Amino acid sequence: MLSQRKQKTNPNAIVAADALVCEEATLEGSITIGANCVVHPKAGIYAKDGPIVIGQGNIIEEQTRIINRNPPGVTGSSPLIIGNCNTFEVGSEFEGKSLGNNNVLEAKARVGPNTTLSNSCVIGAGCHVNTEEILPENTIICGDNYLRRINNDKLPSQTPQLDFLKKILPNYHFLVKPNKPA
Amino acid sequence: MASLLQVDRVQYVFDVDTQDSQSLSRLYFCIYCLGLRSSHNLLHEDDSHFCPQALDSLASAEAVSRKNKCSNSWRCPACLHTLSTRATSTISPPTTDSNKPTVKTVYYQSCTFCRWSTRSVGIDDKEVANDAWMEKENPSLPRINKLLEYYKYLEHKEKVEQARKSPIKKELMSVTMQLKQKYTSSKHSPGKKSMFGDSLSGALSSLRLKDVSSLKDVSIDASSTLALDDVEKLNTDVYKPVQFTAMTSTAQRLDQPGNQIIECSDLAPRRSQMFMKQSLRCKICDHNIIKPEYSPTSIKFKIHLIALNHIPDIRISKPSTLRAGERCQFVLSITNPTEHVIHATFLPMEETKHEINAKIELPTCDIVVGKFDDAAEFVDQLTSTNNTDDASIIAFRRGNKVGFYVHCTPDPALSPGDNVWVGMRFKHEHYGSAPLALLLKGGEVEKEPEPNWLTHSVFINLGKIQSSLE
Ligand SMILES: [Zn+2]
Ligand SMILES: [Zn+2]
Repeated sequence: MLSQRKQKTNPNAIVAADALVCEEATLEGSITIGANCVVHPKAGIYAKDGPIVIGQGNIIEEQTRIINRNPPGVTGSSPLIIGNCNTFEVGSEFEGKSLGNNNVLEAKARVGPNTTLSNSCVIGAGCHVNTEEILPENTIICGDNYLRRINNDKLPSQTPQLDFLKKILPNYHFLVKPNKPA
Repeated sequence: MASLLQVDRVQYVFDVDTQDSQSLSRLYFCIYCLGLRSSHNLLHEDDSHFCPQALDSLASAEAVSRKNKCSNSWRCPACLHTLSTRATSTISPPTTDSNKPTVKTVYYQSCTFCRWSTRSVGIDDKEVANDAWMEKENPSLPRINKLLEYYKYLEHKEKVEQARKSPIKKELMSVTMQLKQKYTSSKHSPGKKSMFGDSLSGALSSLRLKDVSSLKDVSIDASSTLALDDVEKLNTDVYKPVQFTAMTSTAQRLDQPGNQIIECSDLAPRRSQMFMKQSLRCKICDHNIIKPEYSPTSIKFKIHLIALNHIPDIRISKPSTLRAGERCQFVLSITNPTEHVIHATFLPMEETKHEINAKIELPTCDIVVGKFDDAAEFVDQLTSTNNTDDASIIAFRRGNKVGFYVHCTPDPALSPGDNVWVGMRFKHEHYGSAPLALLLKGGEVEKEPEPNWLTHSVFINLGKIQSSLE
């Protein structure tokens, strides 16, 4: 229990009023979590070399790692800014430069430090992407061969899932108290 | 060296005349004529076609008429995964009849794996969940139909001429007849999904021999040819950088050979292909060797006469270093799958067409192999040790498996890297087929049957010659 208490006292973690952050999640460094976000237990957000700012309505599932770390040879503390309504599925890892809105990182997907995701991109399950580029909007990468496609359809909304989680999670987990200055 | 799964290293001869051989695990055993059979010398019959997704089954003729495709299940054209139907409600604007906007449920198909959906290529949502979807038509279909009509005409013509001359012999069947057989009945194309022939077979199946007098002349247009000068000039667009996210991959194109789609925006859902349950029949005695259960949900067999259940399995148990001209010792194992104790006698290989490049010294006495016992693995293995075994012959004994020593001398002329092949025959008694055969026929078993003695020729790849430096 002691290790869980520690997070409450992370003075640099700012959690918005109606965000739902489980106590068992790891928040390290200067982190801002926006309204309506859900952070599952055992997710890890590590602001090592700069702050991480997470927008609204993001779902961050178990075993996810979101890291802001400078590549070797780079100094400074640039923030990692994550937009709204992104989904980080179980075991995914994001170490990229920035992330727009409505992106999905499927289970065990990994985005390395060279890649930036724009909006409505999907990194398929198990795909590791670390190319020096900004993925255009609606890019879908999936499968063994990392087949790319531009999706012309809207991705389904995550709102029902968010509502469900906000109903269920508080029944089984301790939550980090919101501390965003009003 | 791991030889556990290297089943191809021990080859059983299944055809005495041609000396064709195969791994025991790929062979069948006819308990009626007591012979090994490979899938090549068995008669393949398709029992039923079924869809592994929708789990519905069809008779062969019906499956052919439906072009071997399932009517309920669809496949993603982007990743070839199964598509799922999604329901969603939309609000349509108020019409003149009613002032309120109406809410209705519409359906579209989407792939849970790659997130492709019918909406992404602009296919309209449907108001009913099933039956509303259409497959893209093969652009060459009119031409294919025309050709089929022509072949039908040729077939009739040939048939009339044949009938005039002599009764048709199977060997002299005309090319069109063979084509028809090949594509209309899948008896002759066992286990293969007919990718290329599906539209062909569908149309062909509708052809039935009609009265010869009703035959009318059919002519087809030859495919058009162009002089080089008349060929359209290359579009300069091809030099533009390729937008590869908008282009289909080779796998996607080959998935729909009829209309090889180039741009992703033209992808359309495909019907899932049906799978086939097939039974195998001995060509000599006409008995079933393999007969699956009809139900598509069942993976069991009514008759399942695979060789591994009847014939002792010989494997390399312990390999040894092979050097050209040097005598070395191996351990082979023999496993008895039957419920009778058997005596295996090893005999030298006779003249064979197979390449043999080493001399083998086999055990000179019988080897007794215990019977297969379901409970054996729960019993202390040591109790089953037979103390009368000659330790210079028997390496180990575990239940129904016996390891025995053989010695081998590869030919001195072999060079490092060459495969060493030895040949041998072995004889063992075979019980149980007669009562089993009787049981399958519905008869009564009376007494302990007399064993039949079976002799098998076996080729073994002992490994590669090592260089003398190692
Ligand atoms: Zn797909
Ligand atoms: Zn037979």
